[in-house]
Amino acid sequence: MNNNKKFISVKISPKGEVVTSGKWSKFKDFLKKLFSSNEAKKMEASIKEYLGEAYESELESKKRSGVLNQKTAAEINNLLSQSKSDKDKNNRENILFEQIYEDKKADARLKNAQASAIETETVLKILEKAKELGFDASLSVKDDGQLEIISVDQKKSDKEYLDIPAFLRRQAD
Amino acid sequence: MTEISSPITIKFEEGTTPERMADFIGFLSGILGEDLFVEQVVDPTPDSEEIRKAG
Repeated sequence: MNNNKKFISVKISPKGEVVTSGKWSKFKDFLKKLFSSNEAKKMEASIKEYLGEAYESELESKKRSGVLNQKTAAEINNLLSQSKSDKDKNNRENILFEQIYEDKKADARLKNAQASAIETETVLKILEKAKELGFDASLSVKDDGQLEIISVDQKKSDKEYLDIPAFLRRQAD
Repeated sequence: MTEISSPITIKFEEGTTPERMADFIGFLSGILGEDLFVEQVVDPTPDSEEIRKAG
């Protein structure tokens, strides 16, 4: 348990016409349903246990002060561009939301309040993939409707790096 | 109600490397089936003790 944890806040958006097509909005609904599943709640519990009070504290904060880090934003975007390789194309064979979105019947089910839950098999596949990658994640919906995901890197292969605050790393760069 | 065009915010533990952040964002991108990009990164404000240690 670590109550002194601080968090780096990263805002992500889709490229292209995904926003205007309504797909982005449906994706958010999909994430809400995914993270409200029983399976995802178990993952959330482990994050809460690991982060302790820092978890609730971070969720309750309306707006934390911080320092814009354009260098890291550019670095991540560069990494994301590079990953549009065959490896990523292969991953896209497993695009579960895409399959649901494109499937008219499933799309209708998504809109149907009676079928608000995502099929357990889909939830398990996605959470399993997250575990494979070494991440635990939970999602909260803010008062204004915005989604916030707290992601914990379980690999922590470079412990020394993790112990260095971000602003000190920037000074060293 | 979710805003249609608003970004999603991801909170990573301080110290998470950009590579790992990209891994997680790539994971979300894989679920969505579309490319995602980072609009903004905000690091936490260092507390006075950290600044003192940094000299």
